[in-house]
Order: sequence, then structure tokens, then C-alpha cells
Amino acid sequence: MSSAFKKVGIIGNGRMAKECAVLLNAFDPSGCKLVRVVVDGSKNNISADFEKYCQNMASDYIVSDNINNDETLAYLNSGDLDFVFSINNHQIIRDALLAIPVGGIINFHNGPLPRYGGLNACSWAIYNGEIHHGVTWHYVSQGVDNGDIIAQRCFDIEPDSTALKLVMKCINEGIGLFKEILPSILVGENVRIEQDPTKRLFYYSRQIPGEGVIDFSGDYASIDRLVRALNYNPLANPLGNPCGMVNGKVFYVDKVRLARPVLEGIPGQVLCTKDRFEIQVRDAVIEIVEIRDEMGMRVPVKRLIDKYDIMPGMKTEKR
Amino acid sequence: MKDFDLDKIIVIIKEMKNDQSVNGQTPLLDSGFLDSFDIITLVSQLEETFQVMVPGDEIIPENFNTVEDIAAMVQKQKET
Repeated sequence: MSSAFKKVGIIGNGRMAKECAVLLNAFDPSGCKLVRVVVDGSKNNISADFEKYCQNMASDYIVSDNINNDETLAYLNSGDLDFVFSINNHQIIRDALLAIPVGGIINFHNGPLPRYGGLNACSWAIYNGEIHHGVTWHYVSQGVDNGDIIAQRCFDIEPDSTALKLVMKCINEGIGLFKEILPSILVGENVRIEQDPTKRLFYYSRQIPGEGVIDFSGDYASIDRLVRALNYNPLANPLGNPCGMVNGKVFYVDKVRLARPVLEGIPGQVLCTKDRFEIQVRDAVIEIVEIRDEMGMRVPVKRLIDKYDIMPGMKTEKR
Repeated sequence: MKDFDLDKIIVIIKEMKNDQSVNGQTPLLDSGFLDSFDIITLVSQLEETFQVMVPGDEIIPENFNTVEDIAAMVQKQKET
């Protein structure tokens, strides 16, 4: 390594990058110093947590919407870096960047690798009915999310968790785990566990749980999982809200609840529309509690019932 | 903009931030007083308190810079 203390960089954004920077800056300066920060500028961030923190700390940082470009590589190269942490970084790390820190690049992933690699791990975990989830700190290698694992932490998924709530839980768990593993990483005593490729589960950006379409002839539990898996409220949804169709018009669902575990009609049939939107599914009557119109705007359920002329006995259609 | 809306928003934020001092003009984002997690929590509280729906495209820094900005955004949602 290049000096008595370790020179560390961060590439990332959001609250998690900020909290990890806080931990690094609070660490014994004879152990490490945060000397390079690249704020991932490829995605909008509501409050720009990380950049604000860097500004307030008068830290040396750059914002980059292409972390592999010459300017960013030169900035990082000049830091004589031992390690780089990639935290909530949405850009692929290419070979030239990977070669810069002598101790490697360490990435945070919000899934229990080798399961749930790739994108939207939290949505897929909920959709698949997992009751546990996990977060992973791992080395970046030439593949995607397949480098050696340094540490993992597993936890329960709450039965009513939405995708966003699980993302937030992953971030909090990931920050706690970072605090635990940082000392061992800095002295080179961390573990490295090779990922078992036979257990790999990977999702691409083009994949969407349930194709984003609600099948009202299915059972309540699977419909509820799909709706929660695609609920990022109040933030904009990266995957699109799950949709249904009735009376020739499309609607999007943010939340359902079990009304009655009974059969009162044919699966897919609308049952009650006075001020509640109830639909018979395979094993129960469900109520659509939060809904969006065809434009994706959240509207009161009653307003949508009136606007769409929804009547009892109508059948939901497949879009 | 009604004063009691401002007061209600201030109460919500104070409860979230362990009673830290805040007023209508306190810079909430530029200072790092609120971070992204706080905003997510705050929006849920605003929706419940004021019976409004805050669309994702309204969750932008311009609407959360100060309590007055938040109140204006809430008022706009009440009118839609």
C-alpha cells in the first residue's frame, strides 16, 4: 500500500454514500482519509444528500455523469488511492477505473448475492415472496455483481413492505454493516468469499415483475406482492405501476387489501362500486385502496369509479 | 398560504428531527437539514395530515427548500 494511512475514495450518491462518508471522515485519520469523491451525477436525487454533505464539509469532490471518462479517471488517479467504495452508484465500472485503487473497488449491493444480482433486487424479492432479504459488500470484478463477497447481513422483509421501504431498510442495514467491516478492510484482514455461480439469480433492467400487469383471476397474495413490489411511493416509480383494465380504461394500482376471504362472484369481476372498488379474485374479495388514472396520476378511488363509469358485475380485462 | 398549515408542517418536521429549531424560511435542503429519507417520510406525513396526494413529479428540491415551499406545494395539491 502506498502510505501509512489508507487513501480512500467514494463513487456514489444519496444518503448511503453520505453516511458512509461521515463514517470515513470520523475514522482515525492515522487509519484512513477520504481523499477523492465522485458524486454520481447520472441520476437525479431529491435532496442531493451526498453533494450537499461534500459542500458543507468543504470536501474535494467532482460530479460526474460518466465515471469512466478521462476527466474522472484523471481525478481519481491523482489521489493515489488504496480503496474506492462504490455506494449507490448507478454506473458500470470499466477496466480502466477498476485498475486505479491498488486495493480494489468495493461495491454495495442491496441484495443477498449471489441471489438477486442485477437491478431492482428489492422489487424482485417482494414479488418472489421472499421472507428474508439481505445486503452485500463485495469486490468489483469484471462481471456485474459477481466479485468476491466481503460481508453480508440478512434481515426479514416485513409482510406489508413496499419496494421503497425495503430499499430504505437495505440502505440502513448496509450503513451498519459498513461500519462493522471498515476496520478490517483498512488493515487488509477482511474475508473474501468467492460467489457460488450455481446459486446466482440475476435480473436485467428490461425485466419487470409480472410484466407490470395485474391478473385479477390470480390469488390475493400474488396480486398483493406484485402491487407492493412495484410501489415506490412517494418517489417516481422506475419500473412503472402495475396496471389493470376495466370498462376499456386502464388504471394503475398502488395498494390493495384483503376485504373478505370469500367467493361472491367470478374471479376478475367487479363487486362493489359505491365508494369502494372491490374485485373478486381467485380466493378472496380484494379492495383497491390506492389507485392512479390512465395518466398515472394518483386520484381518490371514488373519483376514478365515477370517471370510468365502473359498475358492479363488470369484468376486469387483460391489457 | 395559511399560517396554521405552516405551523402543522413545522410540527411534523420538528417531530422528525428531534425538536430541532425550524421556521418558515429555514433552508432545509441546502443545509442538509433534511435528506432524501426525511423527504420520503415527510411526504407520507403531509399526505396523511392534509389529506392530499403528492405526485412523484412534485418531489423536487424546489418544493422542499423551506417550510413555505412545502406549504405552497401542499396548497397546490389541495386545489387539484
